[in-house]
Amino acid sequence: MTGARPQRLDDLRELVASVEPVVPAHERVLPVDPAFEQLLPAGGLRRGTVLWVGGASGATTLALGLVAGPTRHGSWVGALSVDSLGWPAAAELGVDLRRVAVVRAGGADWPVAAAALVDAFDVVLCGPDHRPARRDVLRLAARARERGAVVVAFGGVRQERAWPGVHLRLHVESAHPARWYGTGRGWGHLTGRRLRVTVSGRHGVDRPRSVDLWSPGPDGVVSVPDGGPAENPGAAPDTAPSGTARVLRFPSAPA
Amino acid sequence: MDAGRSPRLRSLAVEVADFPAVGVGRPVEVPVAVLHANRVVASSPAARAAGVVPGLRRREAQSRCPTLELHPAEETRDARAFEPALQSIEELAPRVEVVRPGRCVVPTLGPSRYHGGDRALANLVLGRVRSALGPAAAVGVGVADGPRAAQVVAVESLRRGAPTVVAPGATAVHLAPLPVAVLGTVLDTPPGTDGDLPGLLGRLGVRTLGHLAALPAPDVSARFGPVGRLAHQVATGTETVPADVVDPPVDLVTAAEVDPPVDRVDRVAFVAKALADELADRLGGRGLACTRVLVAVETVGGERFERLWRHEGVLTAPAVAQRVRWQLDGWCRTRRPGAAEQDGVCRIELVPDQVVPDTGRQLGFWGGSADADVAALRALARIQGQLGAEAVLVPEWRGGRAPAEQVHLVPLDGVDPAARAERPTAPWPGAIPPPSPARVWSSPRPVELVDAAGATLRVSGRGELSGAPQRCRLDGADWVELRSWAGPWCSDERWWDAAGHRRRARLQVVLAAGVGDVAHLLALEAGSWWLEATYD
Repeated sequence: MTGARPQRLDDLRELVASVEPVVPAHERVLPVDPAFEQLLPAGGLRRGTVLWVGGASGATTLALGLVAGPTRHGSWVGALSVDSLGWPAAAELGVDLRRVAVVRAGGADWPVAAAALVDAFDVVLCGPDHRPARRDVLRLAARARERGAVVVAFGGVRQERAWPGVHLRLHVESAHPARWYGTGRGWGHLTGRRLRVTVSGRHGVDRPRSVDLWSPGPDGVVSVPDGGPAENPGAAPDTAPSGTARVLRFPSAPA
Repeated sequence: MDAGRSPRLRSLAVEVADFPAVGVGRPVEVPVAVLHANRVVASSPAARAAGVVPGLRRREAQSRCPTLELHPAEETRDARAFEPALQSIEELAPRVEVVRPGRCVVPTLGPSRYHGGDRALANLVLGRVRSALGPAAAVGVGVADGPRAAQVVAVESLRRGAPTVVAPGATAVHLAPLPVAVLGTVLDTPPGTDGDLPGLLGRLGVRTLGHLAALPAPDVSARFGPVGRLAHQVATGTETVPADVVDPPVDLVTAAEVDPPVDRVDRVAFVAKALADELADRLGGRGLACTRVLVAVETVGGERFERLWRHEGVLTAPAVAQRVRWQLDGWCRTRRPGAAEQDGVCRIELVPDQVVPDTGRQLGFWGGSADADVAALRALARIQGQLGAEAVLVPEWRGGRAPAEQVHLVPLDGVDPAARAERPTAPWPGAIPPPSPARVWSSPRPVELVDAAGATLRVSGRGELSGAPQRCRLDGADWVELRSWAGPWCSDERWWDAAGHRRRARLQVVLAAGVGDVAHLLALEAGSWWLEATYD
């Protein structure tokens, strides 16, 4: 008898799993890369929400890393006012460029294009190259909630005021300065950046929470540092490492 | 002609060699190549003389012919360029069927009798097309039994420079020595797939059209299906109207009144897109597919402009919409200057001219288009309708050293969403190692970069900095100290070309700003430093 009890419990759990109601659209989340899973309260991008990614610097990389997960899981990303975005960087951060469409629309066309994108795409990426009006943003948020799309807006400090009432705010902390690694005084090349991101908002975040991230990391994608801040490859010695010959890279000039 | 058999479709075909290169519209002596997915798809005679042949990669083509002009492949441009030739043929013979820009077919039964025989008609057509397209085009004209056989003969006549007219009934004999590979240009048999009939025939030892014609027709039909039967008909010169063509039901004619009349091609094309979808739905409801469609456009001024478009496979809804767009483009270009400005399009009609039972298309087990992709493409088409076709862009990989060169944003119409290029895996020498900058500035801003003594930094011809950079200033803002820097990465691009020659040195700099590190990519060109990109 005692042995049969856990067995019946398992059966019950199975039964519960099979008759569970279908999860409504607003509860569904889009999968994101592992580094963002612990950062976002829902473990992913919750459908119908608007996210703001901002800060003095580093917002673009973070926003691209955020939408990389959905593109690799079959979602399309519609990008708006991203004229200055570096697409090779997006690909390195894991964005599948075959599922990206860019719409060039500014001024009066912006609300039209944004509404059409929200209607059809899982993720809409709004860049800093156009500053939308407040009422357009509010209308867009309502539409995204209705359609179950995720709007990811990013930009610097100046664009932030254009996006009132966002559900989740990822902010690159300037109190804990970001730091680039890999370059010295005349040698090496940029390999990674450490920064601290603070998540705040009104969607499952009781109080702001800060996380240290590689953005991008040495492996090219946004990742969580495993060794903690102790690991510090960029003590940045002022001279080139001894024994390294200076390589001249210039091709010889034509005769 | 035997009374009991259906009439042979005696046809005249016009083929323009390397039409994409002709459609660019450059003088004969300029070497031109048209690229798609980084490979040459067509090259002009001058480029061919320098050894640039289709299939070469961009860099290889440029190394063979340094003065080569490169153009991206664009079917709309080709269609527009082919329009004058079509109009000149239409003056001689009605019912011109466009297979694709650069190739069309005309039934010759009536026109030949009027103009005094097949050869006279062929010569007339050759002269008209030559004068319409200019001296840069090599034009081939062929007459044979059947539209596909005529196309094969037209390709063959390109080499001779004079029209090839195959006597009625002699098509099989004429085609016999040709390899079966020529079927690939007239049938919908993409190489490398299950439908690659010429490749299959070759593997089975059927190497020439003569071998194929010698096989019994029922056996070919049983073994290779409808495509095999068609191939056999081409080889034997017995091509008729395809046996499975059914009379198109009258109510399949799909038309839309455009009110108010529009005169912008992209707006009309949007209407055409909806119309093509509707036609596809109606055909699909009856289990039919369309192989030839008549597109008719009417204007407020009472002009009616129609054209037949045929396809070797089946015309899908996007393909029909694209053809409407080509037709409108060509029509707008050649419209009489006297026509009134307000002469907008008021009606569009799509008439399925030949329909066949739709055998369907089996999607691949892997890589078939998912529902999300279809929904996304449909939404993009809607945005195109609202904001214009040029407003929707998709990223496409190209090679290059600069961050802005590696990925280009191209209009959605110009790419096949199912066959997008992957990121090139081969290294690009001289490129800066990843990570790439996340913001690339389209209009570079001037930067001042100085060493400890305050002197502007230079890079020598051997790639050495004139000193250690100390401070930099963006566009007249405050001076900021450098925390570290790396480089320079030097590039000397297109040194053989006086106009395109660029010598640049790039430097990664990390600025110690108050809010943390800010990394930039600076470029030195012609003595001054520019902010090219930011690692944001």
